[in-house]
Amino acid sequence: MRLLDLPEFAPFLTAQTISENYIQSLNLPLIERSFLTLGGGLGSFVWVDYLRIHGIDVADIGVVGMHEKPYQRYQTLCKNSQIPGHERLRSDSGSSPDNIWGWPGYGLREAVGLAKDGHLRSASKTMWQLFTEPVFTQTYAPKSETVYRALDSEMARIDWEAMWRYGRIRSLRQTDAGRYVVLYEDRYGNARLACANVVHIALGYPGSRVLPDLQDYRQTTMDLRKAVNAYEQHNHVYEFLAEHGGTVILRGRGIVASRILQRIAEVRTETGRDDIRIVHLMRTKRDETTRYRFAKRTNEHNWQLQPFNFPKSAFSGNLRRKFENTPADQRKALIGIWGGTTTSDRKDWRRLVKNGLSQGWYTIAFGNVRDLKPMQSGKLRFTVDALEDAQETLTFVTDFVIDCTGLNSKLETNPFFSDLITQYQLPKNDLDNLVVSNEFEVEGLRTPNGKVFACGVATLGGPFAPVDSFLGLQYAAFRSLQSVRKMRALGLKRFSMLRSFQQWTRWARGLTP
Amino acid sequence: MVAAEQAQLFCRNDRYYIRQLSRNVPLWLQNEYELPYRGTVALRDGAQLTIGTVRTIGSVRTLGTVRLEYRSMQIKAVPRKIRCSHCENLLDVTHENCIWCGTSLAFGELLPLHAST
Repeated sequence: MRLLDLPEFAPFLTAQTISENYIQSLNLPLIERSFLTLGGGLGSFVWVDYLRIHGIDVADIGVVGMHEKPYQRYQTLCKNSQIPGHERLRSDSGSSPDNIWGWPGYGLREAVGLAKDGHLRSASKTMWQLFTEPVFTQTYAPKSETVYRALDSEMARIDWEAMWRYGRIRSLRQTDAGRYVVLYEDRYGNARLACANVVHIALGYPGSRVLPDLQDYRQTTMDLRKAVNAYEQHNHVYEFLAEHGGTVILRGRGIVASRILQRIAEVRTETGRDDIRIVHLMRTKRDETTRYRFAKRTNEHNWQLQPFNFPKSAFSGNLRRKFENTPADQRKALIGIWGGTTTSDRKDWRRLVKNGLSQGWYTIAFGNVRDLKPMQSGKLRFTVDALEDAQETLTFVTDFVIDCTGLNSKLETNPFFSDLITQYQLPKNDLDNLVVSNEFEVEGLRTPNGKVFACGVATLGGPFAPVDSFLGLQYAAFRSLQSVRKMRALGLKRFSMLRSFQQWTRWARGLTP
Repeated sequence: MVAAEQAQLFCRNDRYYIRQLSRNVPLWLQNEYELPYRGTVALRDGAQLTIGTVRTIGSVRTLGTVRLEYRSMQIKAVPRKIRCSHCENLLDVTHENCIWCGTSLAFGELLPLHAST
């Protein structure tokens, strides 16, 4: 039986407002804080970091999530999608979730680290890249390990461990005292409660995307090894290729597809096997250049290239302002033009595609998937309706299918959001995500003494375009705290220039905020 | 005098630790060592902890102590299964996402190991 189906928790299913007396009568372990963040990932971490720097004590903040380290899920997804510690992310130097000021960015820190280790040439190269990107050099991006280590040290500085609690979030309700109560489960399925005046929802993506044909294949064959999602652990694919060679069908053309392509090419080079081949299946041709006013996006071999998932000015420049001022019903179209599926403009990846196509080990095919069937030989038969002529089918025999079409961003697949939307009749935007104010407040949940904020992909289509980026999480935290400051009773200090400088010096020395 | 949050007991690599979280109420180990604010020590079997003492802090007089004894016990983790909230398949609790539909299992229904439907 689900926790919420137990009779004592009936109000969490049926009522909009729960009485404080009822909460006490449950006699469950209860944490009471002024600020509570749900999720415990990078979104929560950034918000808590801002709160600590704005003068909020550890004892006033609660974090409920499933991972001890805020970057744990992100790291797993990166590792599975073949971005190990030494590989670079798709993020700029100043987007640093461990440092709200963005200075020194990862680039400068990397250069100083290299110089200290005596690698002066590499240090100068990094500095040159920082000063000349993206015109003369490609855009700088930090190594994933650099980000994790920086987060570790900021975690220790703000005492993250003392605020974090393990929990699977079940329900959020308003109380009759104007605050919020959250019902969650501990590791063993025991019910726990948390109350707060300000709640921040940072639950991330509702899962990885497993396309319907892959789901059918898995359910009928019970085979989880030959058709995989790139965000799942799939190192066995590369081990098999290194030993036996073979063909891989790749789907999707974002950054993950690029990284998987690079990984397979590495296996090819390391083992010297010419019998490793890639068929890249795309649903549509993309030979037209995407334009927005005078700007245009590079298009090469049906891959769309841009340094980040949105143009840089959508993060902090005029496009950010434009997007915020755009009526809600027109934002979807802008996201489609500025964002969409693109990959990083990296010279090595462009070279890889060019060489692969000319040497014949990498081919591109277009069409819509009809079905995926196992063969007696142990291989897979992949049937596709050709793009030009729906009557014509293409058949591929392959060893593996790697689906790089990304993560599932459908809010309704998350029962927590689904319950909130139904119970409080929260409006959804054109992308079916939560409607939030410019301060990322879920206004439909406001009480006289409390506010609820959201961040990340749940707010896509809201006031900021790149919401699921490091900077997007920082921006959401910054704006939400501007709104919290209006609730004077909660002790958030004014972030004056002097305080900002004082706090930065404390950050630089590794002292608690 | 009761602190809202006096101390934190936590486990790391099969060892238990206690951390002092109160600035005002003292936490003593073996009645001889007072933990500083945010100080952390590993607990040995039979460790004696004393929270509070009779003393005056400003205008507040604390009038008692709580004595605790730490005994390590072998606690077996309850193995559980989890039901995907989307496709309702039953999976091992170690998975992050449903292997059949990809949905995050953070919102799945936790079930005892013997559950089979």
